[in-house]
Amino acid sequence: MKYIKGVHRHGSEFILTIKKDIKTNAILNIEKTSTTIKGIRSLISEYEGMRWYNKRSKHKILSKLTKFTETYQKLEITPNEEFFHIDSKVPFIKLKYFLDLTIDHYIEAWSEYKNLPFAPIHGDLSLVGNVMFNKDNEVLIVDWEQFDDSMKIPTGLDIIIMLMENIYYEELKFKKIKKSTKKHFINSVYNLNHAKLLSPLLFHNTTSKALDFINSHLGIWKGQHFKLPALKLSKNTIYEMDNKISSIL
Amino acid sequence: MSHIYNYLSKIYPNFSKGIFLSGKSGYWSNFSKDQNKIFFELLESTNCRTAIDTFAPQLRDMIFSEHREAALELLDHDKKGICIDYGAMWGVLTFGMAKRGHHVIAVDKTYDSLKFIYHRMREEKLESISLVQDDLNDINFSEIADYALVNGVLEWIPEKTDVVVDDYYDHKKSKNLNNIASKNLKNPKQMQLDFLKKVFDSLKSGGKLLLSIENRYNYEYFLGKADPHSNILYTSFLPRKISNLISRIFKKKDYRTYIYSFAELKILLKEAGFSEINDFCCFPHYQFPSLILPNSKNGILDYDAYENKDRITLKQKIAFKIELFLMKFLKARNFCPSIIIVASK
Repeated sequence: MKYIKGVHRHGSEFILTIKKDIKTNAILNIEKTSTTIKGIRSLISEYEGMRWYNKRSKHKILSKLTKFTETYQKLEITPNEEFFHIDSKVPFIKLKYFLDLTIDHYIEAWSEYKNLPFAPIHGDLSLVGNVMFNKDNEVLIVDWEQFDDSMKIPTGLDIIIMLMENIYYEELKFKKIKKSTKKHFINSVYNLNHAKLLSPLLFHNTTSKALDFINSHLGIWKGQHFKLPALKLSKNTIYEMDNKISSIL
Repeated sequence: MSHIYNYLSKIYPNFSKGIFLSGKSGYWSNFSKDQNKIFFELLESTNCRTAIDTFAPQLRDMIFSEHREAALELLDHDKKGICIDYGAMWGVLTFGMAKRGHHVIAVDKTYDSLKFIYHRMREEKLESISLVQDDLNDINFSEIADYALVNGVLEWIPEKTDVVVDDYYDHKKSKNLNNIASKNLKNPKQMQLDFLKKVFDSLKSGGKLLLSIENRYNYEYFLGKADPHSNILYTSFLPRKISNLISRIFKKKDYRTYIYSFAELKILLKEAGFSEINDFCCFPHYQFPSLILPNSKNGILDYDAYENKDRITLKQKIAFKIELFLMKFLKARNFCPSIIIVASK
């Protein structure tokens, strides 16, 4: 059973096709195809991102990019069956655990960029959408559409954006941010810095600097920056987080 | 692809300015003949995209957007082949298939539409397109195509009057349309069946048809959205005889633009000879699909809210909430907005 799950979603320019097993309803194959310059570029980025990641991760993403013509390419991805997405409605205590797993995985996968101001970026490290887990609590990062290895992006930005996303959702849901969430944010930034994977460019006013960087480098997100929840954080929250981080770094 | 040229030359000896000509007349366009004349004068001095942006910017996405090509991915078209785009109009799917590496025979009764495709072909340096001007009711291709596209065309097959889209939908202007033509015509369903048989004949064994059409039982028609072709309330789902009566009263013409339910369409395709018919629920419309799900119990489970830039008014937003309820909770897939079919010969 084959069907179209998405067409030019979130400002992208590719068609997302899913192949499922009729009996079990399990996903057999994911196809992304495009006939536009922008769409083809994002398929190539994603393919390169997965190749980069596969060299650094215990678990691999099977993928194949086929250039049928100059104007049509297809990226086929075989899902790793043992990995699953977490439910967006999980309570924060559980979410915090998955955030920590992801940060540990980042520290491991990006280890060769320790002490470097710049590193490749996944670009959309959303805990709910693009990070998967298995029953052994291992991590698999998927959806590498925004991958950029131009080495012009501050090291650790992926994690900062992910933590800001988490804060944003809590702010949205409860109209305020719990102390424990703030504490977790600060500890996570501290850990990232301790692992030497926080660029000096993000030392001071970490959240503001991260946002400034995104806003001045929107091209990296290929027109999809608007879907980053981090950009929607309130000014007060940004100010508060910056002050707290500055006091510990 | 000289063998395609030779094949078409035998059927259409008259070839002029890149188009094989049948000698028959017919007209279906977003522009009137006078507008087309002005448009082509403009096109002489600029490229297709700029000309459309200048002359009819509201049609830009309709003509050029790759978003519209999504259903082509259901065809499993990895093997390069020959595709016939029946009723190619502006050529959005013709270009979609050509860019995917196939040779496309774009057939349309409207000469001006083919002339536009010809201009765009030259601009985009896509040589793998052959243009044929003919009435779709009279085509006669035999086992030449690997793929056939019938995108928003089947419902128009029985309509023999000239159509300028906006005028056709406008009740006052449409009263001026000549209704005499329909008096000597066969029943609309029979004409659609005859056409589908011709499409079937044009396919090689194992060839695939991609057909897109509005769903007769689209939930929106029950909520007060007008029939997409007659522009009258309720005619899509009422019995044909009653719809015909309503159309005669309000439009002074017969109701001929038949659309179908899933079951009716599958029967029609089987009658035309097709086997292995896979049907899909398409949201929000086949012209700009965002979600195309198999019409099955499991298929509709993957229904989820999707982006739609045309969801602007309060009425549209409420309608979408109703759609969410119908599809996500009631799994009422037979009331989806559009139908897409992939059928094999």
